[in-house]
Amino acid sequence: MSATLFDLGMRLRAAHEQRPVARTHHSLALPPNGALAVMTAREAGELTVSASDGEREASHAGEDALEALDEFEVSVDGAHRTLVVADHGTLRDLLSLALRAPERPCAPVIAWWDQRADHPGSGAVHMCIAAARARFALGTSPEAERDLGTWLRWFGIDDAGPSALLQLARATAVGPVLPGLLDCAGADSRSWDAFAKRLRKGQDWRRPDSRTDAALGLATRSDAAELFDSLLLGDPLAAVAASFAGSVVCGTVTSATKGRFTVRADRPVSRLRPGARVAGWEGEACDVQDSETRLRDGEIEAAAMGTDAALDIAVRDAVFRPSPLGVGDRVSLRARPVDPFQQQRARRNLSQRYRTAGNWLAGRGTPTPRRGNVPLDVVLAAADEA
Amino acid sequence: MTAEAPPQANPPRVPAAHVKNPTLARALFAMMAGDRAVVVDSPPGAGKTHLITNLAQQLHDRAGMTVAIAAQTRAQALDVANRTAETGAAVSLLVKHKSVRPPGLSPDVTLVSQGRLRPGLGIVVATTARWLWTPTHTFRTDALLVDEAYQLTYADLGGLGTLADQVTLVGDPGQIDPVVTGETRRWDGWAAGPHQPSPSALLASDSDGHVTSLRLPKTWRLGPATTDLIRPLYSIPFESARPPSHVEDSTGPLPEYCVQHVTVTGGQADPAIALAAATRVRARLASGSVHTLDGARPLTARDVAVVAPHVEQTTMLAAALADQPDVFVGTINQAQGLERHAVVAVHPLAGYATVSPFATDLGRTCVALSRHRSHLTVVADDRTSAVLARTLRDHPEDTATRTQQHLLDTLTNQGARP
Repeated sequence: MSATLFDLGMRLRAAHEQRPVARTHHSLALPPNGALAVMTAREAGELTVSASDGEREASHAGEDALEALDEFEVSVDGAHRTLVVADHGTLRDLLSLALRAPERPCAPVIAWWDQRADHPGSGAVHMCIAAARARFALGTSPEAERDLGTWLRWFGIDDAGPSALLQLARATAVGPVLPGLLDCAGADSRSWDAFAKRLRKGQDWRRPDSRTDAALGLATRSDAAELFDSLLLGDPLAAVAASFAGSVVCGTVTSATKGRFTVRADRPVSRLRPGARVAGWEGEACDVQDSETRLRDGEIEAAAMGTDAALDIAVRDAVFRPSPLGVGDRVSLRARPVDPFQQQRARRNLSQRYRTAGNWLAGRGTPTPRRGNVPLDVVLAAADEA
Repeated sequence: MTAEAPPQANPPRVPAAHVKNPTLARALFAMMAGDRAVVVDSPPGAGKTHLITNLAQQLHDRAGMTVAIAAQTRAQALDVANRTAETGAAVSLLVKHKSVRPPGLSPDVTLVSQGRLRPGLGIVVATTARWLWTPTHTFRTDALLVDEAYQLTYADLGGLGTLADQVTLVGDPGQIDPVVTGETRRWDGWAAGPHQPSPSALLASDSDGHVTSLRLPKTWRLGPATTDLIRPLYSIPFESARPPSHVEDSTGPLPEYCVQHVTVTGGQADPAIALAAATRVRARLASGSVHTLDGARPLTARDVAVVAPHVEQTTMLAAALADQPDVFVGTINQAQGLERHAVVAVHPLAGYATVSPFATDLGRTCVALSRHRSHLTVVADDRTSAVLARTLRDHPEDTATRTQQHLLDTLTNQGARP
């Protein structure tokens, strides 16, 4: 069965049972406690902003549209607050308003939300539709899932204003939080503190990214995306789905010696290529949380497809805890989990390189190339028009 | 900059490579004269590695410069190290740990670990990822040469800036853009954004003309028909210089490319796609022969590759061709840098009922259409033309889709099997 058919199966089940079917056991977003939900609407070229914290609501249009946020005292003074929106469209609207009214206290906060929205796992912005699609499958077409109204109907939410977004965010954030997600959210606090500090120093939040800002901004975004994808494979339901796409490979151990073993995979689809560092656990994909025996580390030595269409994967340098697996044992393999500390070290290294004096490619100084004499044969050959 | 005649006494060995290759000579001239950056654009099969290895050797041996080469994958680094060693230069491959010598590494290449990195090791080759972890204050070279530079982001190029005062970037602008896992919408429309391919971003940010732009003008791999086919994917002019070469089967000579349409109803994972491609591979192996200026010989498994855009498709292909382990089976991304006499390629839009950015990515299509030296068969979904037409009706400004339609029309009309 392909990953596409697995997805179709979930949709058919949701249609049959007339209720959303969970894609993950864990919540992929933190509950939106103390969050502010915002909707925008455009009528005759004029934007209306409506905001709600679940208790009261504010709505303003035109030049004063951002007053709706100011009423909730949105500013860089104090702690950051989660923004709940339907999708990126709302953020785009808010940012365009902020650029037109940069003096408003909420304007820089909107810029910060816009940045954090690019970091998967962040709790700064809850994109309702994307978060709901990651957590649940509906008995509809994928296109219909891109519509907020579809989600509100399936979750029985009758409201239409911003408070409906809060209800949907709460409904899709039920259950235990994905392990590691709280640490991702910790990055929001560090980012907020750094952002507020820069503003206090007088930096204009509208300033375009420098080369260094852009390079490090891309690094934090890429790290966030890779860490979130890695954490997701720790969820039992997500691991089962991944086993149909080849990100998790389940099989039976067919040979085992010290530090080395071979797995006959149940399915031939695998994204684990020779040279890749892997981890794993005893049992099926869905045992990812409960299994006691863990493959802490290993390297794919070979992956060979036989004429019987069976895939054999050899792993070397295997480190099992508490004890190694034997022939006949069931095992599930995945790429080694992303280490957030290693990511942090890599970003620090990149930052240091960008700030090194003489790094002319990063805009630090002017290079001093060696200007030598060019041999005549090179001059003549370079002038050749042939 | 001055031109100087070679000394009369004890003349240095003058390699001939640059005499036959004006682009190499110009890159050499620019680097020896002190240009801070050189970008060399190249079509597929135009001799990028030949250029970079000979450039490194001459800068090191003739100009006495310290030289580092950055490759984008471990396999590329190993290949570049081996081929640089073939020029006669002293070469070291920088690795994390020296304990295991990589299989296939030439005995002429010295293995060096990061802790032992110092001047005097000859030309040092490493992956970009490895270079990014070298100490910034203890190791610096005169010149950094970047291979497959269009696979390197501008952000990572900036990280390499601590290594050298001069840089040469060599790459194929038609290939797949660098893999970026993070969201990049913040820098949409910024030609020098951190996610952009490093050569184009470097040129875009060069407001004061410090970057010398060169191009390799001839492809030695692709025949004239294929060159015409993929030329719209490039902004640089180039022509075919490939010596005569073709594949024959029992019916006679095959065209440079042809298309086989299949009916696909089950999406990208429909077995009909892999089955059609595997059947075509077997047909080539059963009765194919390759004809070059050296004569004719049977087509062997090592002459053949089959590439597809999706892992699920390559899985099915690998299963169907498991008895032919020498046939290259892989994704189009994995096939970058590959060359075979005969290639079977699954069209990137096969199995799609609607277009997606992945499917219409022109870099992926370009790689699929440019791995063959003598013959290419494209396995295409018979609905794809209608899917593209429908998309263009809704989004007439979508240039990627329009180019895909042009390519598919050309493949279908010009590549009809005789």
